[in-house]
Amino acid sequence: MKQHHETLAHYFLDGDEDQALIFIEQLLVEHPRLYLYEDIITPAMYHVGELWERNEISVADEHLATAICDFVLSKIEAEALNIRGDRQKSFKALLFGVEEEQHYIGLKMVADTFKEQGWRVRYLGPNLGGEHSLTQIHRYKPHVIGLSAALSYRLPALKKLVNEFRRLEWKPLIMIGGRMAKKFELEELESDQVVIMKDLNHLNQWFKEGRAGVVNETS
Amino acid sequence: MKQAERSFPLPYFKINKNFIVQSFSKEASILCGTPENLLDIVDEESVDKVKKWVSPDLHNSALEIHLKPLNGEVEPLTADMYVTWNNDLYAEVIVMVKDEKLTKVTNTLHQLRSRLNETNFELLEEKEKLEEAIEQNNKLSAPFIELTNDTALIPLFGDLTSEKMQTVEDYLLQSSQKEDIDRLLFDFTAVGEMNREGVHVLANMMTSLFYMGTEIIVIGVKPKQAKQLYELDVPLEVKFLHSLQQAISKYCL
Repeated sequence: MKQHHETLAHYFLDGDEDQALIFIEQLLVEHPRLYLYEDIITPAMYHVGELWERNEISVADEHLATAICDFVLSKIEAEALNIRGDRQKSFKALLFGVEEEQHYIGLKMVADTFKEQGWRVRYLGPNLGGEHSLTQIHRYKPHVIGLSAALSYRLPALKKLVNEFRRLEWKPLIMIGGRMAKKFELEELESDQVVIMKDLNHLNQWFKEGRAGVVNETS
Repeated sequence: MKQAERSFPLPYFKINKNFIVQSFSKEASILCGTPENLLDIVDEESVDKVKKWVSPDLHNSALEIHLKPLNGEVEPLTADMYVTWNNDLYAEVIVMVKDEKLTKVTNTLHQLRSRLNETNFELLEEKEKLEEAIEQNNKLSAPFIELTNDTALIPLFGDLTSEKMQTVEDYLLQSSQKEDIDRLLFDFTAVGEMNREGVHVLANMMTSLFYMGTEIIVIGVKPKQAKQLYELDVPLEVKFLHSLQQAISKYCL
């Protein structure tokens, strides 16, 4: 029997959004959303990458899989129950992918995780220019700024942004995620104001430990 | 290393099995200069793929790879690589950068996605504004008005929803602890629809107030509401009066 994530990867690659959605909704009946994100969807997308490396699929197939995955994520997000007004927290998070970065599926799941925790979220998508992100940040004044990057070419841009955000007067918490956080040693960037998030489990742990409360105190 | 004598109108390399470039075509040098080693122009994430698929054991192969960003580009370039080994020592390699159609489709997809996202974003902003307006509205739906030293009036406005009741609960409990207030008049005259959860929260609040030693009088209940209140178990300690006028003449004069 094929594993769940491989089955899902094939629905993505076939461009079969209906089957992918049915498959995911069935899993959602028995499993929490975190499990789905971290143990099914993420490995499915990594599996797509492996298939490319094994010379079995092309870049065009990868793009199709990404688009289907995006669609499915939007759909399940829209169907999720809204956090009721009285549970809504006043915390705000702003998330985006650094300039030229086109990998955004992970970031989308991060946005959703924040929403599930009752945060207000501005998900600005991938490939956001430095200027543009700063304008938005000054307007929105988020408690957490989440940055994502997958490819090593973004490292200089990422460092530059982190340094700029550290100077913001309301001292937001800066989170760095994406495949780069998993792969490269970014510890040099870490400080009491900068956190490296390895994956969604890590982020969830952060919520569980009540670290969000710390954000509140410092801002 | 020398430029190939035969001239291909394509980026062409001749490599040995350690990927050292032996010769190259003019198009190859235009594409990526004159690398010593073919792997030098390959994006680091594609290096393993190239090592695996470009090997004398597989006489022929065709694969897709990413090239490092070249000529001032910021994105890795996607290219097709065709390899033929003449013998165990040397291979001929053609590197064809993907034509612009794929890039065009990719960019169109990206644009579509960011447009969807923008729409989303505006809607979200409106939704949050609305939520704040409702919250503000809720807060103003149960003002606490002191009529005399010991009596206060709380006119309720609009539909009784649980959200509204939860919003005003703390404020009302705290206000009613003030000094000598020991009688509260809840005026239902301006109440619209009532739902089960809303009345439930209100009834709980009344019970709490009662335990704090406050007398509760509900006034201005309409016939339809009376039926609902009866069905929904309002605490027995609550008194009812027909109108505000009646209540004022009874308690304030």
